[in-house]
Amino acid sequence: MTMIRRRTFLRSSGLASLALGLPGGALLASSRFEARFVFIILRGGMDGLMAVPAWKDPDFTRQREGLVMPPPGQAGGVLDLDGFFALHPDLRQLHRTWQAGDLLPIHAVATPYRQRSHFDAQNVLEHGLAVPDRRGDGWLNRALPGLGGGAAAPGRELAMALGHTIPRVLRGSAAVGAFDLDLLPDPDPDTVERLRGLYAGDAVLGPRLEAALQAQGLDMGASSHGRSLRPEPRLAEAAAGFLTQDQGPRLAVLEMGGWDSHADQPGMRWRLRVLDEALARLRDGLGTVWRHTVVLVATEFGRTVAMNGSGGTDHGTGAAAFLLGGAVAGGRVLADWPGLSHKALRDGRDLAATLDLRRVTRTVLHDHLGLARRRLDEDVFPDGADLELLPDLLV
Amino acid sequence: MSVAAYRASSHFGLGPRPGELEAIEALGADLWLARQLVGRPAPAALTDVPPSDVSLREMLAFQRDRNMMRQAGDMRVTSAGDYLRSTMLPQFEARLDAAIATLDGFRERLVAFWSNHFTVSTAGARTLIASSCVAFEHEAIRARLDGSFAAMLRAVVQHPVMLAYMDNLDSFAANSELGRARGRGVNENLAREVLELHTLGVGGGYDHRDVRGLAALLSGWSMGREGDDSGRFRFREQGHDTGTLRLLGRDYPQPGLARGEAALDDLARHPATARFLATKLAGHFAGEGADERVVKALEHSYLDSDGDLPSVHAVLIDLLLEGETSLRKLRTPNDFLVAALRGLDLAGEDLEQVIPAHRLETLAAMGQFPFQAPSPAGWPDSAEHWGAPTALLQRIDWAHGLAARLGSKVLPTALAAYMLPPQAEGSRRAVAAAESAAQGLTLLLAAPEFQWR
Repeated sequence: MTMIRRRTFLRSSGLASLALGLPGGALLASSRFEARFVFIILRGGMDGLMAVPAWKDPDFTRQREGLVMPPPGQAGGVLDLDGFFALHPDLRQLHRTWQAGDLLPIHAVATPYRQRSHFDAQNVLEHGLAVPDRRGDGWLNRALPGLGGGAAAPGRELAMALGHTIPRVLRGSAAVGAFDLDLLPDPDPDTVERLRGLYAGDAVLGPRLEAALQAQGLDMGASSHGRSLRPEPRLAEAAAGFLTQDQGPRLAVLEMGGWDSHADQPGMRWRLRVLDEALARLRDGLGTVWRHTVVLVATEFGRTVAMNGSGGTDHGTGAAAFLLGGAVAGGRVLADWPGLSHKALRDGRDLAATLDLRRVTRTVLHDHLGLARRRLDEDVFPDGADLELLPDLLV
Repeated sequence: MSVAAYRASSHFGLGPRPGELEAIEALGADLWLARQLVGRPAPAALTDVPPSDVSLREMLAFQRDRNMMRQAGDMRVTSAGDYLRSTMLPQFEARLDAAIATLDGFRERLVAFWSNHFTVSTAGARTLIASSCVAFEHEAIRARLDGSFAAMLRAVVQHPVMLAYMDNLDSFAANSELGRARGRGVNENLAREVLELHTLGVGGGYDHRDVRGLAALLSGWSMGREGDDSGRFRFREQGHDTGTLRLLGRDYPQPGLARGEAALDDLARHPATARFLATKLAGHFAGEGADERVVKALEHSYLDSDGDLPSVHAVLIDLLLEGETSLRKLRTPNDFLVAALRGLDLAGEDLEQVIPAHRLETLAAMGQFPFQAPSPAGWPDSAEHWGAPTALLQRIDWAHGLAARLGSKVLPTALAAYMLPPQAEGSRRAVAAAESAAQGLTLLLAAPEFQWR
């Protein structure tokens, strides 16, 4: 049961001005543009070759030994896209979006960041400049003034964060709305797993934590539990609810952690199922607005191509991202594929990155949301003005 | 960062604030601790907490007014709960603020130890004292930390909050004027707890005659209810026992108030008291199963110094700061929360958004709401009690909730550098390897090394 905090509901439904006794008529009269944009941040570094396997690449099976799933058509097999790339079998609903021509998987893509720190990589992903800056605001917030959303009355913000916190990409001087589910979720399975590791060495507290987890059914060895605990599908549904309001926000940001799959990667498929469910609920909830929508799903970096000693993958470079929505020219994979031969890998371990993610975000801001080129080059991506926009990204 | 600096801050104190370990290194851990033993100013955060006589007087007036209104059939009566929420809760917040802000963490630990030793509790709807407990702690404990145990004991037993908590306000001897008028004798509650919990301890060589003897010695120790001494200690001579009184085989022939005071002084000086206090203090600072050497040293120091508290406290520094003894002590919920908020040092918007409304609720959920100890014995002092399986989950959940709200406003690796002990390499690596700042902060605050001091 989704609980909407009353205050946020009032704010976000545009009723705040009435509730606060403000003259709201003039504000409500103006009409907003049609385009919608949703940015979903996958924190931890999603393995692009798990989500979007290049199953026909001649080096794929050898390089990914231990992580390869059956080919399309077989039981538990990957879901074919274009005969070369496929989707992970747990992205079933996303595959339907592909079949409808509304999905554009993007591969071998990365931010300009080339080190391997989560914090710095996420900073670059959200701050939008080539170098990390911990105090920085976010590129989407910087875009808001140029979209007519620089200053907004409470409840009339152009952009909205859904979750516990306003992600950096939306932080800055422009006002943004915020919504959270009322329930404080339990720690996600990944965090619980990490804590179990830390407590394993504590002779007194270790056994007690284990006892507590057993009792609470929080033991995430069984992945089926993981799904119900995750708030993302409900947040996606809530996002759709706000985005479909006539006077509601036009931009929304969600985030999802748990992608840092250093160990037992095949055992952590729940992440993909949760993502798949969240994207489906967003699509279904948007209804007729879906055709005006672009959703970008991106992560801070990819992972190593080969499996490590603990059945997982480590921090890498080239990643996969998804662009989906009725406004996306989908039905194809956007990739300048560098290949998976040892020679082609970055540092002999990572999928090389052949596309700067900012070219995608710049194109969406300009072509989809109508942000003026000058704003884009000067305010939003001041060190990325020479990054060319991508043709044919949108319908 | 040296082991001694971390030990001084976390084991002796309330946990490192930003820069605290550097300050300790600069001064030397032993000196940093030693100079907290005497002559430190009261925490600034407690400035607005009214003195106990003021709070008690107001509560007495509130109760009187309410009774009058009730009798007059006026239904616009403020409930005691509402009254307490407006008086008591801000004081509890201030007490937390003081613990989070203090630069004298060791001193405040000592205050907390003696405050728990001399527990007063509002459990069981003790509304009269609820908005005076913080003042009690300040007046009878903190303000007496530089003197002798005997002086602290007297301040405690003559404090209206303790007298009210232990049902001594109307304890009048049956042979006294007030006792005859009421047809009731003494209440033995205070006397029993002074012997069992505050001085000699269980097995300290007293029997029921001594309980009755001390109760008679303390008869008439009460509180003024009107006039100038309203809300203050008041000895009601007309309620005091008129006979000859004995305690532990000794006669107390002095007149009136003086003989009760003499009896308390003798209890403070008793070898069983020295032994009992030394054992409890060692258990609190050195951990359960503190070795006998520590207990003996504290006991000797107590006896040699005639119960001078700073002298006894100094022994803790001498024995435990550099010693080989492993110091395993689980943080109580209160100290866990305080240590987390000290380390995070939140300010402004972050603090307002994230913390204040939730701190007391958190402590209530974790079973350690301020001044709600279940009995006069105070809060348990064992890992067995505070480290129960579900309690660990509560800490993890709280850490997770806090981290989720703070998001990337903090840098967990920088916090882990001083908030976790030097030897917690594994947990520090886990914080650094976290997939997000929020997860890193969760791991840091929920790490086993952060549950231990």
